[in-house]
Formats: sequence, C-alpha cells, structure tokens
Amino acid sequence: MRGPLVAGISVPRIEGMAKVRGEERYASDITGPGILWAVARRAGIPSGILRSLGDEPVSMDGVVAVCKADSIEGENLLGVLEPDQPVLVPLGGRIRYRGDPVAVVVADTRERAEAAARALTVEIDPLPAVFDPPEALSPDAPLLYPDREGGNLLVSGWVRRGDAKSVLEDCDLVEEDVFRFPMQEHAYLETESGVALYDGENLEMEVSTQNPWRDRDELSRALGLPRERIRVKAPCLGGGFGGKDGVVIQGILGAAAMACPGRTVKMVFSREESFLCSPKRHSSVTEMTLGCSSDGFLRAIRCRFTLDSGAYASMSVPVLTNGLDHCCGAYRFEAVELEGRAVYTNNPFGGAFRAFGAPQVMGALEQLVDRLAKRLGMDPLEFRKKNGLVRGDMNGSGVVLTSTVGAVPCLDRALEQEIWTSREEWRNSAPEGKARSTGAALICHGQGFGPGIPDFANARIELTEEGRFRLYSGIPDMGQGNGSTYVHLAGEPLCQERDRFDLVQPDTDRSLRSGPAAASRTTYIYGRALLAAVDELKRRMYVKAGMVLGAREDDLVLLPGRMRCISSGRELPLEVLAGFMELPERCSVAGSLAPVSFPGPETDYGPKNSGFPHCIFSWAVHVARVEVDLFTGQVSVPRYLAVTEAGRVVNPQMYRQQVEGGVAQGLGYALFEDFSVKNGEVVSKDLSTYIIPTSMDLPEVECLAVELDEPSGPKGLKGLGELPLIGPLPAVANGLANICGPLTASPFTAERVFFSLSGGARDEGRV
Amino acid sequence: MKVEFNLNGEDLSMELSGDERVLDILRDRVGIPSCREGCGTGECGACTVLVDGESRLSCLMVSAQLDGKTVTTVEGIRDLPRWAPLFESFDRLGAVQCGYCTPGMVLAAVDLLTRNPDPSRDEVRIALSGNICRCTGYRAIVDAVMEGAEIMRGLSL
Ligand code: FES
Ligand code: FES
Repeated sequence: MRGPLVAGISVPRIEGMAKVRGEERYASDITGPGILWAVARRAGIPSGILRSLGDEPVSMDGVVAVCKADSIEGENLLGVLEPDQPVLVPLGGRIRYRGDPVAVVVADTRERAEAAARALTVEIDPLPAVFDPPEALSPDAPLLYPDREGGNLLVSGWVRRGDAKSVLEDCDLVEEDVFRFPMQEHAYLETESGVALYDGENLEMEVSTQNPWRDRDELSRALGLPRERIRVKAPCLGGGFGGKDGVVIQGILGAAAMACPGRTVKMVFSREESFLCSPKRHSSVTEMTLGCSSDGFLRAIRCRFTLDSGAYASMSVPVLTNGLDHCCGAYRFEAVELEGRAVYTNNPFGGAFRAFGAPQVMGALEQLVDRLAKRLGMDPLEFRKKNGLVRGDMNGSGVVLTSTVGAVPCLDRALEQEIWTSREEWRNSAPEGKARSTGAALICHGQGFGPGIPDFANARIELTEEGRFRLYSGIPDMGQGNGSTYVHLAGEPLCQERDRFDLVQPDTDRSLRSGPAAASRTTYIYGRALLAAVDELKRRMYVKAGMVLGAREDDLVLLPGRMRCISSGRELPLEVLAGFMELPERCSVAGSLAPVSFPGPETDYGPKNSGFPHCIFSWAVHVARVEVDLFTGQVSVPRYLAVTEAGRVVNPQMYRQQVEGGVAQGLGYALFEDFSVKNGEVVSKDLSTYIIPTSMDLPEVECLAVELDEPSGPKGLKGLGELPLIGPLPAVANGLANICGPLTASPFTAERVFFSLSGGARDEGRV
Repeated sequence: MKVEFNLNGEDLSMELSGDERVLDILRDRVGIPSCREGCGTGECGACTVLVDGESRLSCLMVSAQLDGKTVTTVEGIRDLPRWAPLFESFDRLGAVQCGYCTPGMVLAAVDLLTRNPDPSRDEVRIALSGNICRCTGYRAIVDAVMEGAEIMRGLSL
C-alpha cells in the first residue's frame, strides 16, 4: 500500500518479506562459534522416586557440564498458579510423568550432548500410577502430591443460577449426552528452543516464548537469581498457539547456562520431546443436559466436565474456569448448573491451547442444540436465532451483556449465504456411495482475562532521531501478526506509511511488561495502550513543531514524514523536528487496563480465578459441508463458511489469516488429531502418527465479517485469535449426525464414522 | 570423507563424516538458518532444499549424498529476478504467518513451477502437500503460488 496507513485496508505484515526471504531469525536459528548444546535427560517412567543419577557424562568427549537439581540455587519450582513443577527433579524427589527432566547435559555439539544424556544412568523406584481422571479421584488412587490438600483433585468449580434440575424436569424436550474429546497437540513447526548466556552475574535468554516477563519472574524464583539480573527476549515465534505460554524449556535452559558461565548455551527440543513435554489441550469428558420448551425456547442447562490436567497444574485452573464460562455458549437460559473439575494424573500435562477450554464445552453444547432443533423440526440456525443472546441479555454466567453482541447478526448473515440456502441441493447431489450434509454451529469467545488477574498492557513508541517511529512491542508475535497490527493502529493517527516504522520485538530490557500473547487479548489491550501513547507523542510533536515554526498548533498538520503549517505552507521534516526533542520527549509510554473483568455476576459461582466470567465476547457462525464415503467412512469437508463478529476489522488480510488458521486447527481437531497416550506414554510421537492437516485436507474457507463497532476496543476491534478454532468440531459433527447419527467421541476418523454408520455400539472413545 | 558440492552458486569442499545430516551441515556448519528443522523425520518439509533443482528433505539426506551435487536454498534464489514475483506474492497475499514453514514452501513451489509453469490449483496443492503449515490453512499459500506463476508467465522469465 502506498500512502499513510488506514484502518480497514489490507496491509501485508511488516516482517513478511523477511520471513519469505528466510532472513527472520527465530530463537532456534541463533547460532555462532563456540556455542554449546544442552540436552535434557527425561525420566521415561510415569511415576516413581528418583534414587540416583550416575556421573558417566562427565568423562565423555565434548561434555562441558552436567547439571542436576542440586546445582540449582533457587526454589527449583515452576508454575504460574501452582508452583508444582520442578526444573529438575531432585534426588529423593517425585517423578510424575515420563517427561520429567532429571538432568541436563551440556556439550560442544548436539550429538555429543544427546549421547551423554543417554549414557547417564538413572535409578527410579517405580510407584503406582494413575492415568484416568475418574480413577484418580477414587479414594484408593495413588496420589501425585501426597501432602496436598484435595489429593488429585487440582481444582473444581461450579456455576449455579436458578434451579436447573426442576426447570429441566419441566422442559418439554430434553437432550443429554456424554462427549469425550482427546488431547490436542499444538504442533507448532518450531519446537521449543532458545539460547542463554550467564556471565557469572546476569542471565540473558532469547527464547521462543509467549510471555517473556512472566518467564523472567519464574526463572528468578526457580533459579534463585534476582529479577533485575535476568533479561528475556522474544524474537518472532515459529508458532505458539498457547503451548509457549508458560515455562517449558526456559527453566532447564537457564539452569544449563548457569552451569557454564561465559558460554552461550543453545537448546532445541526434538519433535518427540516437544510432543511429550509441552502442554496439551486437555482431554475431557463433558456430560451435558439441555432442555427447551415445545415452542423452541431453551430453558435450562446442566453440565459437568472433567479435564485431565496430567502431572502438573500449568494453566488448568483458568482453562477450567474459562470452560465453565463458555458452557452456555451464546444462549439465554433461565437456569444453569455447571460443574467442572481438573484432575492430576500421571499423563503429560494439559495447559493453554487456543480457545482455552471452550472447544471442550461448545463441542458438546452445539451438538445438543442441533438435536433439539431437529426434534422440533426447526431450521437449526433459526432455532439458534430464537435463543441467541442480544445486548442487554444475561448470559449463562450471569453477566448482563452491555458491549457488542454479534450472535444474531452473524446468524442473519449465515442464513442468507448460498452454502446454507442450497443445503437441500447439496444433500440430494450425493453420488452413488456417498452421503452429503451441512452442519452449523454458533460460537463465542471471551475477551482477555477474567477477574482475578488485571488485564493490562503498557505501550512504548518513540520518534527516532532519523524521524522514524520505533514501536516497542510488549507482546510476542507467535505468527498472529500482532506486531504488524500495532504498526497499523499507530500508523493511522500518526498519518505515516508502514515503512516509516521499526518494530522492536518484546525484550524485558527495552519494551514494557504487557502480559502474554494469550486470551485473544493481544491486539485489543496493547492496541488501547498504544493509541494512548500515540496521542501523547503526537501532542508533544505538535507543541514542539509549533515552537519551531512559530505557528499555532491548530495551524499544523502531521503528514507522512513531515509536519506542515497549513497557512504558510512551511514544512518541517520529522528528522528535523526530532532534532529539537530530547529522548524523554520523543518517547511516549502509556498503560491501559482492559474493561474485560467483571466484579461479580448474579450467580453463585465457585472458581475464583482468572477466566470467569468475561463480559466482552466475539461471536461467529460456522457452516460446514460434509461428505462421507459410505464404504470407508472417510469424511471430507469440501466447503466451509465462517461468519465472524469481532468488532471492526483493522486489517482484512490479517483478520482472514486468523480465521483461516483457527479453522484449519479446528478441522484438524475435529477430523484427524488424536494425541494418543497409553499408560502415560505418548503413542503419537511424530508427525506421521499425529496427523495434522496438509494442503490436501482443507477447504478454502469463505470468510465474512460482521463489523459491529466495539466502543471499548481500539478502532472498535475485539480479539479474534481463539474464536475460530471452536466452530469446526461441532459444525462438522452436526453435519455428520444427519448421515451417521450422533458422534460423541472425536476425532471423526474414518473408522469411527464407519463404525457409527454400520450401527455399531456407541464408541466411548478415550478420556 | 571429503565432500564437494555447490551451494547457492559457490563451490564448497568439506571434511565430513559420511553420516552427518545435510540439514545440520547447512544450519550449523555453513550458516544457512532458513533451512529449518520441524520434525527431523521427513514429514514437515521445513527443511526442504533443491538438490540439482529438485526439492529434497535435507533432514533425510546425509553428507555423502551431497558429493557432486548442486544445492539451492532460498538464499540462492531470493535475489534472482526470475523468482521475485513468487517472493512478492507470498508477502503481498498474506501467505506468511509465523513464517517458519515459508522458505521450505517457496522451494517446493520453485520446484513445481520449474517443471510446470502453469499449474492448476490442485496441482499446487499436491506439490505442497509434503510441506506442513500449522498457521495458514494453505489457501493463501496456494493463492501466492498461482499468482506468482501467472506474473512470471506474463514476464516470460
Ligand atoms: S525437518 Fe525435514 S521434513 Fe521436517
Ligand atoms: S506460517 Fe507458521 S507454519 Fe506456516
């Protein structure tokens, strides 16, 4: 685009060309002479006590250091909400899953570090293990944390409003079922990676992370180094999706670096290690009951859902509460009774993954909604329209929605699209041996954190001596393009072209703390802070230009590269203007606290943590055409529509990227991705057994935006990152239900669908 | 063993043990970071290089297989006018998100377009199916290859 940036126009991302040309540097690309490699040794046993570690690596070729728990000076514990995860398991300490690191070996090459880590003898006294949440809750189950109050129950929460039980008894129609969804793996192409250097005093780390500031805090506590002596930088990430929101590699990398002062240490997880040790989308069991009246009004919902937290708490608490918050979806209910549990087991641990607990509940809810519509003989979208929330309604969590609510507008748009109006023709056009159908889902996703954690960001922007604008991003870009969107947001009020901006990626020493790239908050909250910082910078530029040009401020206008005096026509190039300003004047900082938290809804609720309740949401209707091969059960999704309301669209290209990427991951979750774990061992160890979609597997997503103007959002936008992932599973399931009956266990593989087609007994799937 | 090969137009001669992965040689010894590891087992395509003009997975090749070959990475073609429209299309059409897969995708596209300058969308999809992208959903990547190809045909480069 030529000319100053304007909201609403597509602009390619600022670092796009560098990425195509292979010039962008990811944490895994950082290299140099004399760099050392660190490799962790993992327990390989799901439960036990670490008895001893050998010393074999010490004498091996190229080995520089062997780091064990006793060389760590801090608390040696990681975890944001529950510090339950050791950086390295100490002798006598407990092994809770196969991926627990017991030592890190540093050597001059990766091969030598790997060989040395393998050579280390590890003695573990095995203990009984438990892999299934209900079993883990039974009174005689082995306890992962014997001293912990609550045993294996990590957290439970409830939401109650009205008397759901008696309203359900009074309902004309009731649908209920139990839904089982497996773990999902992020499978970002760049595995966990980073480099670290400890100079004897300070630890500096450049790592693929979604939250460098929280990493710094955690490293400080775990490794026993004051916060001021730790610097964490986040270059562009090769994908994150939530999996890099939390310390996965940083702890062992930091410990390894501290064992080799003065040498740069690099660590890159192998794909297999990443699959075992990174957090997963929680596997879940959702038991749900939904009731409505004969004239088509939803009345009550009951839900109990259980998440397998695995060995560590990670983000399970907010994932659970966010799930509770999304249980009732986009609908009005008289009465609500929800219960959620997250349970420790000896499996790989669950954590943050795009949409954070919402897919596990809306994947169930939207199927039951469809069944009720079908029994009433109603168009499923009309049924949703009748029950969809509008502004002023109270949602399931007891929040009266006072911001933009796009549910019904999205339904209206979807109802008139050809993919929906032609669904009869599509159904009737099935060739011999195939069946065709169309399924839909209405979804929503909350904006930012819930109460309990203030959702703030601090922006920093600087007019440089060269008359350029340097924008210090406070939130990592894992590929979603937030950095470019910040430039876009700042570019319009500053009336500048994209090329006049330099973007500094998050760095705890240069940019300002702004929280994680998570919770669909990134653009919304950093954007608010940034616009305030831009306003202040502009004000100072006008004051200074007025003094230099001897003009009134209202006689000045900021144009690309210069300030112009309207009446005299005199112009002041920005580099000249900058020369009149000292650094503190040229650099503007502003913070913003997002109005997404809500002090207390009109409901009785248990979980007092981040993730419940939200008060601003984005909304969407997804429609999937499905086709099933009746002989093999093979499912294909040849056409897909996403109608989205996430406020105003600042950059249509980036907006579309978010929708398409989310749908792609959601279709993977629905159709292929089965992260299979047996006795705590990951069975799908690589990308040939854990199948994610290729270019042959995905439809070209039709992407429509309904643009309501969200008054609280920068330029009227709302967050969009997580929302699109939620829709594909229920939309596809609803399409398939017309062909092979209800499917309550995912993914919808050919085997499952074929089994269901041939009228097999209900497939209970895996927990 | 001594291995001689041509990398992006430059003749190299290196003393290597015959079983080193080409991916590691390129990344760690020669300093070609754009050739990336996503899986190490031949499933993702992030490590794609052109060997004598054909796309190959460098994580599955060992040094001995390099001898006498010509190896091309994006560094070797990114400044050639012939491929400029393809690079520009990737950027302009938003075929890049995290970008980790992108150099491999570009090379897979170069391999296809060298053999078939006028592919159908389906042919593009098939040609890229060995390269996984976790971010984009592929539509924009296919668009970029189609449009890049069209511009290049117009320029008859
Ligand atoms: S790294 Fe070679 S194909 Fe994935
Ligand atoms: S852009 Fe992230 S993997 Fe392709």
